[in-house]
Amino acid sequence: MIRKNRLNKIYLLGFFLIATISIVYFVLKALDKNIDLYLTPTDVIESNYEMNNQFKLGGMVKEGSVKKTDLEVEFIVTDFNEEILISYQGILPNLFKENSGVVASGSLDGNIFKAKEILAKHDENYMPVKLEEK
Amino acid sequence: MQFDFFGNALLALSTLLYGVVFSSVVLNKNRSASVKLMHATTGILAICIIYLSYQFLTDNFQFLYVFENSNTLLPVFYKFSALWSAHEGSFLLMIFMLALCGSINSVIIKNDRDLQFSNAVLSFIAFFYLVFLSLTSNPFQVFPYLPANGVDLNPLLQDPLLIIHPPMLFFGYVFYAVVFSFVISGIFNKFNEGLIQILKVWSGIAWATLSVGILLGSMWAYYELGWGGYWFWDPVENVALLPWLAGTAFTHSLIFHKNKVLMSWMVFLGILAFLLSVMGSFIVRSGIINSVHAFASDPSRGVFLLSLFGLFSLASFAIFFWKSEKLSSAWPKINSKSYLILLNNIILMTILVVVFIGTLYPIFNEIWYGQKISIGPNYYSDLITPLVFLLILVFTYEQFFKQKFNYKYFLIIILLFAAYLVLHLFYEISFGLFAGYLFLGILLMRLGFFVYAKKPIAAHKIAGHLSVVALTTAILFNYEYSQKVDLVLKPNDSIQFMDTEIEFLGIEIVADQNFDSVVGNFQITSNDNVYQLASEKRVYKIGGVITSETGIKSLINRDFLIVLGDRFNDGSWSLRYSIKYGIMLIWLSSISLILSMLYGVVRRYEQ
Amino acid sequence: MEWYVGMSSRFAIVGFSFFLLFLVSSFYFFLTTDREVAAIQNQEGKKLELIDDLYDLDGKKIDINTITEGKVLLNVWASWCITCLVEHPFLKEITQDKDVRLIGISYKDLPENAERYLEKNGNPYVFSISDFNGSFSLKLGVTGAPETFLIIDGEIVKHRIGEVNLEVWNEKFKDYF
Repeated sequence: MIRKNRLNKIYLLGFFLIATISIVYFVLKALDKNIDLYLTPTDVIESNYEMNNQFKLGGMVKEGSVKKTDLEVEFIVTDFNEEILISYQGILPNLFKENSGVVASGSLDGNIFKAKEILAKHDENYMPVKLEEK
Repeated sequence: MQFDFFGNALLALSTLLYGVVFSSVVLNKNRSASVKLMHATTGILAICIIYLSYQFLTDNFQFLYVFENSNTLLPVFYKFSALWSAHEGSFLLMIFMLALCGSINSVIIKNDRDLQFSNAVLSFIAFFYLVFLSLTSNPFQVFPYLPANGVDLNPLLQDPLLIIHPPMLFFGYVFYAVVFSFVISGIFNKFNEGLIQILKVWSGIAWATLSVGILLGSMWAYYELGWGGYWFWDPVENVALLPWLAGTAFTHSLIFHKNKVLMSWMVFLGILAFLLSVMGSFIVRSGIINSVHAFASDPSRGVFLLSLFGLFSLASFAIFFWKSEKLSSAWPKINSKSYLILLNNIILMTILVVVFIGTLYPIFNEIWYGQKISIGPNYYSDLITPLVFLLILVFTYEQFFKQKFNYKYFLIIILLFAAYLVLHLFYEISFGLFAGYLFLGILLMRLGFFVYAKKPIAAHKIAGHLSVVALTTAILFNYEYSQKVDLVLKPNDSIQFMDTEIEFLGIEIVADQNFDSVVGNFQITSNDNVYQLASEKRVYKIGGVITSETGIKSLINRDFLIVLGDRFNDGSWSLRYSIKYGIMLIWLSSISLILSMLYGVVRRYEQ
Repeated sequence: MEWYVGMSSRFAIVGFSFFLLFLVSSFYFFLTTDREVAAIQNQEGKKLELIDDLYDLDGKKIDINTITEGKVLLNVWASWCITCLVEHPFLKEITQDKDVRLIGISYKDLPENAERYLEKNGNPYVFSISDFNGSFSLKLGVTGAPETFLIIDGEIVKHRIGEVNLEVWNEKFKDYF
């Protein structure tokens, strides 16, 4: 009887070990595939445009730099230190404005950042943000 | 900044009373009086709420909170709801709800010992919440002078869905605090049949409320924000999902009481659901997470809430540690009902861990490596989809596990596999959707069999599990078939996309009291059916905020969405046109899931 | 047998508590350390960049020398900004008690709203630069309102993002006045 119990316990432990290891493995794999870095133009230029993976680029939209032709949009994003040209195809979000924050996700193509998605950020000290509490 | 005397006096008094209730139970003195004190405190907090509402209704902008969240032009309905539109007021409302739950318990619960312990725990929590409210987010701050007008409520918040969504989440958290209080009472006293019934009722209510809160948030994101989706794996959404997952596991684990197995595990889940809800308010309010939800954040609030989280977890785990010997930790028999529930719990906990890591890993990365990262939605969908199917497999198996296995089942499995191959090759049905339909079919047949054989059934259980399968299938349906395209169209032009034709009828300019708007009218033709829809872009006069009102036409199996973009010089407009499948099915199955839980609670309460 | 299982759940509790402790302490560490993103926000040590055409709220042209010469405190404010209203009494106090030349920048605000705000709450500013579209503020590196710059002979010496109160004053600006 005791023997059988002990055997059960070993099975159980083995099962847990396998389950835990496989969970850890899958989580790590999924993390590896889906992590995007948040970078500023300075970070990108310091690395000499050597970024092969997809990442997120954040900064301010430079004044007077937005050019639209049909669905193609080009603008410069700046962190008041360095600048990068972003090109994007599609509809811009409502909050996208010159002189306001923007986060673009995509990847580098030479010296140009090809964005797949553009998110605009609220002006952080602007009042409606305070009110946007749920 | 000064403080309003009356409001703060009420807050201080209720804090004091909660201190008295807690100590009277702990010191075992005047316990019967403590119940009366609970009622009194609820009354005082109710006066607090009425007092603050009165300031809103009479436009008393001397109150900073009223100044920030209201305006003379705001409709009366929104003036009233502005009470809980920001942090201070919603926290006050939450504490009031906690007090109200204590009072309700005092009326309906007969077992005096359980009641006393629960009251002590609730007053302990309420005491610290009140201290937090008075010190770091006092709703009764006043200006030394009277401003002429308030700042107005954010246009985004002027929406009926958003008025009920946040309090629903908060009330869900509060109800989990009540569940927690009874779990603690069970540790000290005994998990007898009566207490388990109370726990079942309260955890059902808590679960349903939290689900309603999450569902409303999801609907709001879809219909009002026009984000084009219903769930984004945004940290703020995830943080509400964590206690929900723990709560789901807890509700199921209550069955362990029947065979007296793994009671310690059940207790752990009860504590976890509560702690995760406290952690949720900490993460949301401290601004520790970058998210599209931009909450006003204040580090001092964050530190205070974090300390509260630390205190609550320390206290509950200390109690759990010292009393854990009394709780049974025996394992359930293999292939028994409890064993299957244990499997369900383990899967739910794995999902919880996945969400937890996805939400908090970016913070840790920033703390330890100073590097900002974000985790894409595919991380969640890749990991969670197989786990959900495993879960579905477990509870479908639960319907059959008492039957003996024989060769017929092999035949069925082979037939099913062949059916899948045929459907996959000729109709391109994915494995996920096939599995969804299959489980839906199995459960429906089971239900039909029970009804036909006139066997007694727990209708709420089968309905609930059916809804889970339906929800999963609808989500997969949405994920696999939805399409979108960005277009440039001139008025009176039309274009073909998928099996629909979209015609741009024209643009109207409409001026409203507080915003100007551009309305684009569209006509969508699909299979000889014609649908009209209008997509709007609004510019608010105060502050110049631009919002989009996505044009949505909902049908039972699919939705058409049009977002208006920019105007070009030649008079054409850019727009995003999407066809989303299964959105209505997602809402319907979620609603039926919540209703099944509520029906279960009502049935239990009647017994 | 019972004894063993009971013990294992105790071990689990202790382990879990350690995990929580780790979690809480790293959050605490995160919340209490100042994380100013230097590249984007703080403009201390930079030269003041000005545009030639600056006007005050009445539409009068501003002599640039009044800003670039000597010790000047620039305060970014707006009538829609709540925190500005909160720091307003303190600004009045310092201009009355100390020798502070306070110049306002009316940030993304309609001049008539700004005038009304000053009429109602008092005017501590020598004058306010009207910056309706925010272009001047962008050059300064302003991310929102309120912000306060201490400028000595055309150089940004101190930069405060957010409310100025007694505590901030003592820490950042007091030594200069």
